[in-house]
Amino acid sequence: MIEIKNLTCKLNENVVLDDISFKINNGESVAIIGPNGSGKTTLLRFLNGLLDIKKGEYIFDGQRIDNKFINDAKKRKIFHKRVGFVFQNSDNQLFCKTVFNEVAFGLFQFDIKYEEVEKRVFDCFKLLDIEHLKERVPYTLSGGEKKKVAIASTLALNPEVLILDEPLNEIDPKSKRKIKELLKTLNDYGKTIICATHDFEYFKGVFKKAIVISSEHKIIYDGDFESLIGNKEFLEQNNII
Amino acid sequence: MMDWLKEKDEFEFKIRNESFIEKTLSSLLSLISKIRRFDNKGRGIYRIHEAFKLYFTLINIILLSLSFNKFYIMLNASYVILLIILLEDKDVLRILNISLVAFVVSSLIIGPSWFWGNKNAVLVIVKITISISLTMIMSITSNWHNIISAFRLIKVPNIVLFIFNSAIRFIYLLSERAYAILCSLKIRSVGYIKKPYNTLSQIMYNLFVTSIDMSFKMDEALECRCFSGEFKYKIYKRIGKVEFFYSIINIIIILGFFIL
Repeated sequence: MIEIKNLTCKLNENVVLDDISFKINNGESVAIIGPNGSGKTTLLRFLNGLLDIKKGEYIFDGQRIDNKFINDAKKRKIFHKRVGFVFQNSDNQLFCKTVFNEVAFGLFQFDIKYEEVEKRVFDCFKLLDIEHLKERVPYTLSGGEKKKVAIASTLALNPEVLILDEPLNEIDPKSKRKIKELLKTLNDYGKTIICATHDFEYFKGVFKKAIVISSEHKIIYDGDFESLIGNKEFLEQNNII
Repeated sequence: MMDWLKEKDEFEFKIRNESFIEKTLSSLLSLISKIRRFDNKGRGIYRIHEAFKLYFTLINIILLSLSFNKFYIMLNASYVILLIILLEDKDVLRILNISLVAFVVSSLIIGPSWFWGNKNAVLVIVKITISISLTMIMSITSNWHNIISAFRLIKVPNIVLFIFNSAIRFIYLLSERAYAILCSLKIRSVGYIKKPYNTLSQIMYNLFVTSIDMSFKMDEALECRCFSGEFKYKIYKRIGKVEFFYSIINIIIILGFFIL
């Protein structure tokens, strides 16, 4: 479903991603792991079509995602409907004036009946236990609440691929368990999950595959998740634990 | 381990008045808490739909400015007192403070003309005080975002409303950041800053860069949620009994303008 071929990215002459190639199949759950500054967030932004690919290739469901594709408003809109992204910093993602509007925002961009929008929004509230926040102003919520609203607002669009950037930041243990279970359920429903995280031990049983990016911005592991977390020596050597 | 880490320091601190940082911190906190108040759902008048409050307040102020009927002005004054009774204690104090200031200032400006035969001077002063009280009551009891949305009824484009809403959001988030930076400055400076005003420019620089970064990220967030250039959102707020009673009271006051 997702294929990255020889992707290299430089920002201000600094290499952020160096000749990265991998494949993610439909319905897979993948953890992107790496030390701080290795380029995880940049990679996720490429996967969401937020950055121009200068060198390399990104193929999503047989379609090449390049400048031409991104500049086509209709194609871009359909692409973003299919690929949901939860930002690392929720403050950057939440821009509406109530939590209800925040979760409904994406749905309002399509010609969907209001009753259907309302139903989906309340279903997302139930999934994340945030119904009591529906009339609150998103940016005044606590860190954990913001994160849950950000996940709900992405889920409301029912994306086929859910990309999360450090979803467990600022989250209490109970909510962590809730998000872990949610990701597992979504994966069972056939969604593709891609998640950049440092808390990978917490996600035992959720991910099938892991991609490790080194501090030199190269992929140094692309394989089974369980075998990776069993290999303590490799993780220590690469500044991951 | 470094040797100096094992020993206790014996520096002498120059303790100086920190009023600059303290004042800036308290004003930032007050701004943050004012915006946070949006989430105070409360009861009664605080729950009334903002569109009702905005338009009835506007109509009342316009009719009040047109009228010189003492009974109608008294009716409005009674209405203000009724609203003040329904407010929480701290809000009552704020309204009374502001109304008192408005009363004193307008008395100083308009009051002396009474001695030169302006028989309406007292009425004008009362009208100014009532108008300011009405505006303040609306502002204090409402969510600013919903007040902005209420302008949709007079066909203000959604993009303009979105910009206003974003401005409030940015003020809140940047104030929180400025507060955090100032707190850190206060803690690390251990009570002594050589040139406290110079630190402001550095904080402003930091906020400026942050705001640019935030605006780019918001653009990406809009993009990720299939934004197509047209803002569509609804106020999730039901109209109930409170709005009904509020409308009846206001219609009686509006009728008072024509009948009295």
